[in-house]
Amino acid sequence: MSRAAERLVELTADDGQILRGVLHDPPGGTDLPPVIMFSGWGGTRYGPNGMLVEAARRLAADGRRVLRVDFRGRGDSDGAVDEHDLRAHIVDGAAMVRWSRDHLADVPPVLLGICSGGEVAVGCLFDGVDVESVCLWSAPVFAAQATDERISAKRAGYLREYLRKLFRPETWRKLFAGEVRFDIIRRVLGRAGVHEKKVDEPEELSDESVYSARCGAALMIYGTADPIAEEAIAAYEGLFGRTSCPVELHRIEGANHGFYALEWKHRVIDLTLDWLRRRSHS
Amino acid sequence: METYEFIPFGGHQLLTAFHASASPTDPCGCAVLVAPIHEEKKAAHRPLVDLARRLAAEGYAVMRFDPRATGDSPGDDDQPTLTSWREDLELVIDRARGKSGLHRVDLIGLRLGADLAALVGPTHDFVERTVLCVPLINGGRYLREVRLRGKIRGALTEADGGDGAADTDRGIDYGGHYISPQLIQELEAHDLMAADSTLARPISCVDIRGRDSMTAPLSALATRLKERGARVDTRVLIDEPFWNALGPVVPEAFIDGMVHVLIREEGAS
Repeated sequence: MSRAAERLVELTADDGQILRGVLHDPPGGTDLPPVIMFSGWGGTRYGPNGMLVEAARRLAADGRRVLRVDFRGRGDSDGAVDEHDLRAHIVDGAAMVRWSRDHLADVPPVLLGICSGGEVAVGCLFDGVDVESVCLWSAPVFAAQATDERISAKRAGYLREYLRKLFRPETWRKLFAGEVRFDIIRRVLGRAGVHEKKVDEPEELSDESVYSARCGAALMIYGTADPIAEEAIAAYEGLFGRTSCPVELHRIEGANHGFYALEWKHRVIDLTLDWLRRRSHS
Repeated sequence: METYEFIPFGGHQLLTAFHASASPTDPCGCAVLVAPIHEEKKAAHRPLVDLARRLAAEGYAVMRFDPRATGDSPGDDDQPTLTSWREDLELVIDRARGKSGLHRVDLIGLRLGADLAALVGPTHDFVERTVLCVPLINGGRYLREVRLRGKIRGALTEADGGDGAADTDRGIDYGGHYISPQLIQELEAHDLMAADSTLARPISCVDIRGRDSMTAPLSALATRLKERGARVDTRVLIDEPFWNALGPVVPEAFIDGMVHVLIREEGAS
């Protein structure tokens, strides 16, 4: 099969700002629903270790159109870095769905999100956006509050990492050279990187949460070394169970949150491709 | 105005982004930004976009690009080498000159991008100033860091797939990025301190760190470049190493510093 074309696209966000990204367009047309990829909170449309680019090319080679667009304030899109929150990303996600339906095919697309991008996919469901299905890669609990428990769990993880670093000669060299950034360490251990929500951000997923949108199925993939995995799996299995949406779950042994190894990255992409193929044949 | 396009080049394509100057008919200069690679490229992407937009607002034309097989530029994993990335940079320099209408451009490189800028800029007929931000200087040292980080990750995750540092004849798995044997070989041989050609153009050596003193390796590089005849200025910007950041950051000291290097000081001199 010849390689899918890749072309640059520009979408207009609800506030008039330009969102920029890439469309992977396989030759010869396709009846398969387009796939829209959502990057993580601080990321770009490449994804961690470029896995969204690689996944998009694999899916396009399999005959699917794939859209990867940066959220406002991220990557090449307009907007200031620190002006946007999860709510803004969900609004952008819905704009990408509208663009897909206007320009690619007027059918519900597949939403694929990594980390916070998975929250955006779920947020679209809460906002009533119909989708063919959703793929959540390492998605945390939707709109999770910075609770003491979560902060403690993450802080413990970071502390373990800093303790390990104490055994490295490089750390001691930096200490003596005055290069250790104590301000960053204080910040990391302070709130442990747990997102503190603004007042207008969405409510956290609860045991009563349901959505009204149509979603045919959900695929969830997590690494067993991802500290947020088990809480998120339980929450999303509950959500999709309450809405009668069938779920397929895969745990990748040893993998961390960003699937930072070739073996893990390829496994995630293989599982997703296989799941999408089975759905298109069902 | 920003223009994004894939430009064809010898059977492959490069994604470029051109930021027109706020004074498009009379830009005060043109800069080509050379980004890091691997995960540092992802973390540095938005800060470099913000820098490009700031420089454009100040009257500069700016071009950014994804070297082959990085970012959105297509290519097989085993394609990129330092040699191929240098070819890509030279093509982009030509493209930036054509788009800006200026005879010469400046280069701003960050991390491995700084090393590429150092290999191309100071001897290039159409490059005026080369700005080296936290260059690796020595490719072998970078590979040692790569291997160490892989081992730490392996220890943290206690899984086979996490021990991506394991060297094989087939290359290195660097956190999900593939480093080919050819690239390993070129990085092992790469040492900016070892080059000895004569240089005449201005070079800025920029450190970005938490204290106001330059690291010894970069200071030594500045001395070495002076010995080779270059006009070298040095500066330290107190900012966080944003190319390693996990979340979104706006490195204001870095952006202000680059504006000062290219515009304020050039204009004053």
